[in-house]
Amino acid sequence: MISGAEGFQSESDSEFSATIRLDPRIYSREAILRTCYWHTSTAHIHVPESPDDKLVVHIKLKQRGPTLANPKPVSIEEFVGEFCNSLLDFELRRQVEAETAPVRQLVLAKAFSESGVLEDDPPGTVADPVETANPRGLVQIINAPDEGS
Amino acid sequence: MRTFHPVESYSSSQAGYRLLPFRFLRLDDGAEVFVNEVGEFVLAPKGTARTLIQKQLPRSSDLYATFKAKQFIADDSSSPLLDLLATKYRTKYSFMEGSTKLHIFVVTLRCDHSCHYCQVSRQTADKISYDMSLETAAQSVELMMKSPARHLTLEFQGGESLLAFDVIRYIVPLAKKKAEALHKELEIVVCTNLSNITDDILLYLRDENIMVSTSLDGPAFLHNANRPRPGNNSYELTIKNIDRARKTLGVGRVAALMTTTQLSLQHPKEIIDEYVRQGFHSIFLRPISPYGFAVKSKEKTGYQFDAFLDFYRTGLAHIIEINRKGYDLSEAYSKILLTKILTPYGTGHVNLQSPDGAGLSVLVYNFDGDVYATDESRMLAEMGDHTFRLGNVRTHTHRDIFTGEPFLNLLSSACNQSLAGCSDCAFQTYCGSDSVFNHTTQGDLYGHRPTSDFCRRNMEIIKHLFTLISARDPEIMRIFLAWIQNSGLREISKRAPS
Repeated sequence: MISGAEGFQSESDSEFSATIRLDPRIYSREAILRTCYWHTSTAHIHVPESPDDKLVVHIKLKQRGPTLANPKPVSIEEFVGEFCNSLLDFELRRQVEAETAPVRQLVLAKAFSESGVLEDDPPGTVADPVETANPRGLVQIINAPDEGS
Repeated sequence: MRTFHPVESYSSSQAGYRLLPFRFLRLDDGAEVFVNEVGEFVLAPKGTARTLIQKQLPRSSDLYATFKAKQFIADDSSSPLLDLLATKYRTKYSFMEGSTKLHIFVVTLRCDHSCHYCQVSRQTADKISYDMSLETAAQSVELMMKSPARHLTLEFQGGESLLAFDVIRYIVPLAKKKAEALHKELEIVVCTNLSNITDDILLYLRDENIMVSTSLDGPAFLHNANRPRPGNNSYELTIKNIDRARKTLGVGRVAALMTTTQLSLQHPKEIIDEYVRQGFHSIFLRPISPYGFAVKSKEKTGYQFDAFLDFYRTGLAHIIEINRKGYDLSEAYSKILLTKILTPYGTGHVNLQSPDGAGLSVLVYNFDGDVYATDESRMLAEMGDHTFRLGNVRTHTHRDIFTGEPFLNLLSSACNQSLAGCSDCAFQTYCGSDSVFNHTTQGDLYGHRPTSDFCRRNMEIIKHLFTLISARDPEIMRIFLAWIQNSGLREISKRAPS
């Protein structure tokens, strides 16, 4: 059986094994490897070098029939479905990590640095606490000071 | 006259937004939970992660404002508040300050009980072989005082620690004198089954301001089945002596811990009701440890993992009901997690922190002078596995212990921030790393998260707490608040009426 969607193609090799081909323009190698890691409890997973430009994942289910401990083992179709869903999540996680890594490093460096070494000056001017000189400051002066109020 | 700008001037422009570091996870009902670097969370409907990360979250939405306020995203009108994030981070990890705070002294292995889950105790009158010598005791105190922590806890354990009362009486004044000279605060706890307690011992504990921590596994049928001793009267002795101890030391100076066995798993409500009947206001629904005799007697203590989760969930629901009816009772494991989830603070619970508390938060001084990274480590040693023996008080200095190979090996897997499976987990800030557990159950310090009971247990428990939080039941939230503030539900309700 072959099924597919954009950037994704899966083929059941047998009742208990399948091959997934993924488009590296959509799914990163890192997200694929992290997804594979989380599925190693239920399947043997192999990520071989691929002759074409696809990223290939071979899957073999560990449990091939019902046992007392697990009377309803997962089928290869269910497994591939779950694998692809979690792949989407890991791709999103990778995007967050890639975008935020420098900020995260800066925050950690600030958190564990000696007091004051990596601190920014507070915004604004000490002599102008309500930022009268800043038109986008918290408050604005809309007329002359009212002596009576 | 000064006035505020109109509200529009504070709204974001149409320019895009930037992501700040966070992680996310799906709950079982499809809802998504987002947690940032400092443990603040947002619960949001299914599909939010994709919308948020692909920068399609509408600026006018409440979620946008929430994510921005909690520093998950920043836009052109965000102040440069990275210092604030850094301060929050430091606060979350402030439990690391000062390093090792808990120092466990195993003053004897002798015990009058023969609990099948106990890893270490010996029924013997042989004081020489199994009691800590005074020389070892003095060297242990010396090593303990080398810890940089300003606040130290000295905990006496066994065996049955009070069978070596003479050793305790030797250590207490010595430790107090040294702590005072070094300007350290010292709290002392004695873990005892209370079966050998006398009025003289109680008066001594009172005069020395020593707390008592005892074992109560549940009602008589359960406690006596779990904790056999000659006469099969452990429960009766414990209850009678808890009462005596409270009368002498004060109610708040006597705490109780339960150990979960296969038999316990069938009786969560009965165990909890027993704690209420005995006037305790805290209970710790502990999973059984995979160490020592507990592993050897798997027939008796081995149980399915799911059974523990059922036990925990049923127990927690029962505890919440008891609070609703007006009796203040907290569950210790949930309290640790809720403190991390709902407050800016972390907690240094040895088995649920990152960096791992083994050695960094606790040291165990065995009766023979061997120093172990955790209580579980010395139990492993009793099974012949000395991986976590960090040194010996006679031959190793504080520096030797913390620069030695066993401790450095432990450190290599101490931070869940850098463990596969944990590094991108939404619950990383709430959870921990337990290398001793990994080593015992999976054969290496690093562990394999997809098959780890530690991971699965904490994942399920934290998810369960988020399910309760997301139900937005004001009374449950007040109960949780009372737990993390060590306060009564009535006081919390007075402060925040619904």
